Amino acid sequence: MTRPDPAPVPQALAPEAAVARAVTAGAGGVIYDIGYRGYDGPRLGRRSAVWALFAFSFRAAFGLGRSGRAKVVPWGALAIISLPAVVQSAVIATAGPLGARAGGGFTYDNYLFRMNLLALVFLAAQAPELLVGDQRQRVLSLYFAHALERVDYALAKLAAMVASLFVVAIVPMLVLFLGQTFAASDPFGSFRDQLGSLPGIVGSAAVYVLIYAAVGMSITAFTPRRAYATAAIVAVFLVGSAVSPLLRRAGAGIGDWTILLNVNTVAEGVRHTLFGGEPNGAVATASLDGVAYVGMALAVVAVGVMAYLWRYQRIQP
Amino acid sequence: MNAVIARITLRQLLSRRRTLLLLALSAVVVLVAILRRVSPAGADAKFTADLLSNLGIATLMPLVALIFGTGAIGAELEEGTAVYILAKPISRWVVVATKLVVAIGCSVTLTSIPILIAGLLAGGDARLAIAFAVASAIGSALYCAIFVALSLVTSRAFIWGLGYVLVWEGFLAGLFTGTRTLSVREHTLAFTQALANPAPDVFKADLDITTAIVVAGVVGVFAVVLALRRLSRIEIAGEVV
Amino acid sequence: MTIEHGSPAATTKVEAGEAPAAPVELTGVSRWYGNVVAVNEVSFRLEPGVTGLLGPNGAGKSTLLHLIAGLLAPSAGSVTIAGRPAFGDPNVYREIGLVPEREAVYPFLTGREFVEANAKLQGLPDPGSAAKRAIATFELTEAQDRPLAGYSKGMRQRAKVAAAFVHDPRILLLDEPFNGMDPRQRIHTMAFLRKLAEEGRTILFSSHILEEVERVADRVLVVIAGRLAASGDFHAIRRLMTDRPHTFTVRSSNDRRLATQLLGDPFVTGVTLDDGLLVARAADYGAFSRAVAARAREADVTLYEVLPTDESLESVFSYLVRG
Repeated sequence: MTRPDPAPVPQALAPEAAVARAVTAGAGGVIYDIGYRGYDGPRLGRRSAVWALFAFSFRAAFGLGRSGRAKVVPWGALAIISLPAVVQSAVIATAGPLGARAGGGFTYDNYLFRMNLLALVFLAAQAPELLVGDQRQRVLSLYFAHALERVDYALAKLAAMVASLFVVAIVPMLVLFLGQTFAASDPFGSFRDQLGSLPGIVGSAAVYVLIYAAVGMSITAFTPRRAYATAAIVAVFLVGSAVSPLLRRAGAGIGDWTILLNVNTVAEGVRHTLFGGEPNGAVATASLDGVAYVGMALAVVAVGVMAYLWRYQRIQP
Repeated sequence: MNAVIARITLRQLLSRRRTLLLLALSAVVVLVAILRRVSPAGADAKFTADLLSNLGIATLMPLVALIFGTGAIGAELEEGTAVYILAKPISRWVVVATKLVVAIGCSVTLTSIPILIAGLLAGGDARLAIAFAVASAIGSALYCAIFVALSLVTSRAFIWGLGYVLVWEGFLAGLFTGTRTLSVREHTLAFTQALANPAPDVFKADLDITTAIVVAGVVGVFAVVLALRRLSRIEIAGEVV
Repeated sequence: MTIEHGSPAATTKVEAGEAPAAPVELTGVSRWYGNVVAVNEVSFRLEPGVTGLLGPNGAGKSTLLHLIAGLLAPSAGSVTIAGRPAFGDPNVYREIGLVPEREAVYPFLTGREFVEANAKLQGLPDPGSAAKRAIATFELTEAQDRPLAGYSKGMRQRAKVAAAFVHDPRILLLDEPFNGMDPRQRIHTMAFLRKLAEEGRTILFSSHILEEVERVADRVLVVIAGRLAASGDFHAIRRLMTDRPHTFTVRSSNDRRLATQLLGDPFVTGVTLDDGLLVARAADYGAFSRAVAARAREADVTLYEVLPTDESLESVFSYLVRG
């Protein structure tokens, strides 16, 4: 069946400055030059790509750039974890520094230990948010086709989780800090006095966050579905905390070492060893040396991160 | 009961990774029992009761039932393979019943047997251990019915089920006694107490047996009927509307 | 390729003097999801033969197929299979075979197990041999003992079609069945569908590859934005599009003279002379066909070739889509 030739290219199109509209016509086909060019200029390198991914993932951890539903859990967790700090600060503001006990008795030493459930919720909900989407929708191949190496991707995501968890951990402590500062009759003096505890605050938060993130992200990397990843993270924390006291009572010579199965206890132990202050929970009653906690924490973080990196080295995009 | 559906469901539920994980979880319970047994402290009825109720009923049973219950039909609905079971001249009741039986069978196997073994190994009261095992079978069945119905109501059944177990049964039931009436965990513990009649200082359930039987019965029947109704009128859309 | 099975048993009861119910009949069917209307007042009857369901993405083809397959309930109107409503009665599936669009199959089953399982679920008296025949028809015999997870996309499609056909249904519904098949498999499947149609089965398949529909279907149903835009033989549809002039390409011994002659004809709305080709546009297909020979004789011009140039399904379709 013969068809009439296609209409010739309209020469009436005003050519853009210095862009020639070449038309290559052959016996049965035509090629139009629509001005597409390759880019030969300078490119931002690996560093930039890693930073961009980190910033994007950090925002994603808080549901920024996503629908309202994606913001509920992270911001809810942040709000609830800060709530006791707000309440206690309000109580101190009205009743004076001794009101701290009435306000809930929170201190920099025990805040994260007591409110760790919220950090767990944040971790369990958002780690899958960061990792599983890319795995499920085969986006990984797109990432790896660029300047980003596999290890870059993995570390950027991990750093984003650590950073976002850090925000969740540090905000309530800062609220406490500011609350005490402004409630005091001499704000500047109070500020100076409290300044000394700032390294401890930051350090404690860092300890908790690093351990939690390492555990959560490494579990998530191996789990193909969001809901299962959440459940797995929750299970590890919960089963550990349920088994630990039972094993402790089971005796059999292991004795106090079983408390190391509880992630929260390990974090608290490290915090206490490094930054002093009041020990919380099982750390107070156990007869373990500080080295045990630090050793366990290092082992957990090391194993977790290595498994995590290994997984991303081997994963089929 | 349809043998083909049963076999497919069984193979789907017992994937290698899943089975290994759940076996590991149940092994933990047994392990703790063994450790206690060989320890200098020796057998102790209270410890066994705590072990079986905290680790067994409160942790192992719901997790296992959650995975098998939501997976029994939920997995096929999510993947898109449900159409091969539903576009067949088979009554929906047969489908529901078959999948329920398979899910319950798998759950009970990976819950009640480890609980029984752990209970007997840890020592103390053998009768209590058996009571825990039997009660956990009933509890597993009830959980499975609820989770199967849930998977026909929402596509996010797993996370809702998890929320129910953690928040309702774990958190709230500890705070508000009223919520215990609607907690499968509490029902199971009540059955245990009724079956073994242990000394109060060893183990005591928080719910009385009559309430437990009535509520569990009602909830169980309701869940099965709901599942049947939803499956009978279920709609499966194509990918592109 | 041989297909060994008997012709489909008549399953509709015919009362004395009453016409048998159409295999598939839709009456005023609409389906909406909240505010989104997926199918809008669609009515048609499917008769034995191959019908192609055509439409752009999002037109509602899949929804229509699932409505017919009893997997969706109509929000309004009725869908009947041999007079009985499609939704809510699992027994209707004895007569229907469905090839869904979604790729997913049970990855852990082998090809044979999958087809056999479908045969058993259909309650066939001899599922093993029925499965064997279906597998052979689609040339999966070599791969039948490998798990479906290892199949290529085209093989999986064939396995799905084999599973849908294993119980010899009177009605076959296929949602984008040629997706992922290589040309040879496509030709094979098309020939299979034609053969089935000749045996009196009713086949409906959806596609947006126009050449496929052109080749296999006796009739088309064109669906656009949930509405039925056209139905029937697409040549006939083309005739009905009187507000769009037909184009004809004519080669003759003297194009210019013929062109002048044709312009004198009231049916001809335009003539273009282009590089040795005469393109004429006429409102009435039949009238022009008769007129062109007469005009050529009057102008003392010999006609070498007269071709309608936009008779393809593509032009019909694009006309309908552009509205």
